[in-house]
Amino acid sequence: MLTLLKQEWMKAVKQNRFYIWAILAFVTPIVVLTWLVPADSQQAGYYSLGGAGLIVAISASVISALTFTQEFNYGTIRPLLSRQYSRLQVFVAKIIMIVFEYVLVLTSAVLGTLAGRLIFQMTNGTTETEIQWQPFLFNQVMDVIMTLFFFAIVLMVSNLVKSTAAAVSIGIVLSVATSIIAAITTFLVQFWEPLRWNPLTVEAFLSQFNGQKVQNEYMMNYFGTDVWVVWAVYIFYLVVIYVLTYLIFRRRSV
Amino acid sequence: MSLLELRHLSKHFGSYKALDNVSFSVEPGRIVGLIGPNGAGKSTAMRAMTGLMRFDSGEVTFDGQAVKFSKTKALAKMGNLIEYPAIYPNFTAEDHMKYYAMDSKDPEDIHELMKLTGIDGDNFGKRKAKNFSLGMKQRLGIAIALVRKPKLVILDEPMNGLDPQSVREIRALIQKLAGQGIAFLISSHLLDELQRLADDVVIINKGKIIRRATMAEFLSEDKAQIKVKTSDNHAMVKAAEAAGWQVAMGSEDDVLITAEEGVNAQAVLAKATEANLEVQDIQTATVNLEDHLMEVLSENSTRA
Repeated sequence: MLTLLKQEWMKAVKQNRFYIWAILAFVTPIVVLTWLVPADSQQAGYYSLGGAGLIVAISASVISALTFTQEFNYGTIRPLLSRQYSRLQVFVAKIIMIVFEYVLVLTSAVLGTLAGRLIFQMTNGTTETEIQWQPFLFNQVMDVIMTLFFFAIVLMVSNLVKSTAAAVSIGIVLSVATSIIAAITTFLVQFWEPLRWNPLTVEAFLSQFNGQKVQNEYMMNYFGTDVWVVWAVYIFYLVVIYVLTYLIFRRRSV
Repeated sequence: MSLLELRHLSKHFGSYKALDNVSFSVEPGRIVGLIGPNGAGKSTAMRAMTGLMRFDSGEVTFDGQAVKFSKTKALAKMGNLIEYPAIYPNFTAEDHMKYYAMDSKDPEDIHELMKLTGIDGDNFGKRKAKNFSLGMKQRLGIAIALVRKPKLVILDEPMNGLDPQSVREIRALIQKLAGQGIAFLISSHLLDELQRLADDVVIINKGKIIRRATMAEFLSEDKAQIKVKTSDNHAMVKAAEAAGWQVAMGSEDDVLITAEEGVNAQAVLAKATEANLEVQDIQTATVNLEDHLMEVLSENSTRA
């Protein structure tokens, strides 16, 4: 497994070139927070990682889509699979590397945000630049957990259609339009009650989760059950999508 | 014990029978040519033996282990280049060597192998593989197939895109490695090249193995032909038939006479002179793999 991870890392650096995303995620908040965001909006800017949140979301889609589709496009899928490793090992190594790359890009965006804040403080003083560390870091952890859902969808699409463009598009659409889709499904719930448990709505609600009482009650009212049940359903969806994706990958003759 | 063995392998794609009860083996140190027309089942067989494709029935064993679709440890000792070199466009040749060498606890010396396969020069250096020519990619693909110190190397069209000098170098390399005990299974449409290289031939057509033999045995099945062009080819045919020789009109305004004991160029010249015919051209065509293969395939189609 260690060999597979080393190989995936080598490809990530030389093929996917994720570091370009990491650099973008670092530079964007510095530029945005230093020059574009006024003092009274600084704190809100920190939570959106100084505009790098969108870059991190797009990078997540691109990185996860490329991981599989590049192998199909370059024809390297054959030597990748005609080795001593099982397909499950290859699959798991790829997932671990995708999450690792994502965390690195996200970390880079957080560091960029802090650097942007520091530069702003040096040039404008420290007024209205406090960060409440606990919710700020909680937010980032939630981002990672929610992104696992997008990874699962993008990976499934990329394995199904072997098309980078299709997988990236799905990822981007999902990451920016989940709330819109969830709103539509919320409207449709009145026609069919179980629709409220669809994966997009569950994901959209949980992405707002902040552990606070008001939010918890809102979720409990909507779903009519405890918050942990909603989490359990989310984990169930994740497991199902990853297993389905693996089965598609496993069955594929190349 | 055979290094690679296929026993009664069958594979259908819908109603199309891609492999039909295919059986053959590859022994250590032998170079085996897998020959057949397009769509005969060569690549399908190669994919099955490298664990890339499920098959309906039969068995593939390599180095004493059954090759499965899911996981086969023995594949660590098999190198392959199937259909086209598997290349990461942003890797250099050295990156590729390092990447694939990670799979083995005891890989080849990367720089030595790069030198042997001719991918160490200025042309390669720090260039990314996306800028390589087809021939350069092919050399790299062969180097990749060898980097894990394999016991068996499967090469599908290894001479594709190579210039004559490179073909000669790769041929010498394959022969040298076979001399060290590495087995090769090679599929190629360059039959002259295969004739020079292979110890054994396996002929596949329409998913079925139609002949297995050593190259020497296979070629000895065919007899040389004497091609003669005379002032009256029909009269030459009559004279040859009268002498009890096997004869036929050729496609290039000539007469084809099968060489046998006592039937050689000299005897044909004598017979023409005896029949008062002027000989304009005479040559003995050597036996070659291509001609004999065509014959075997045509016999097979007729029987089918």
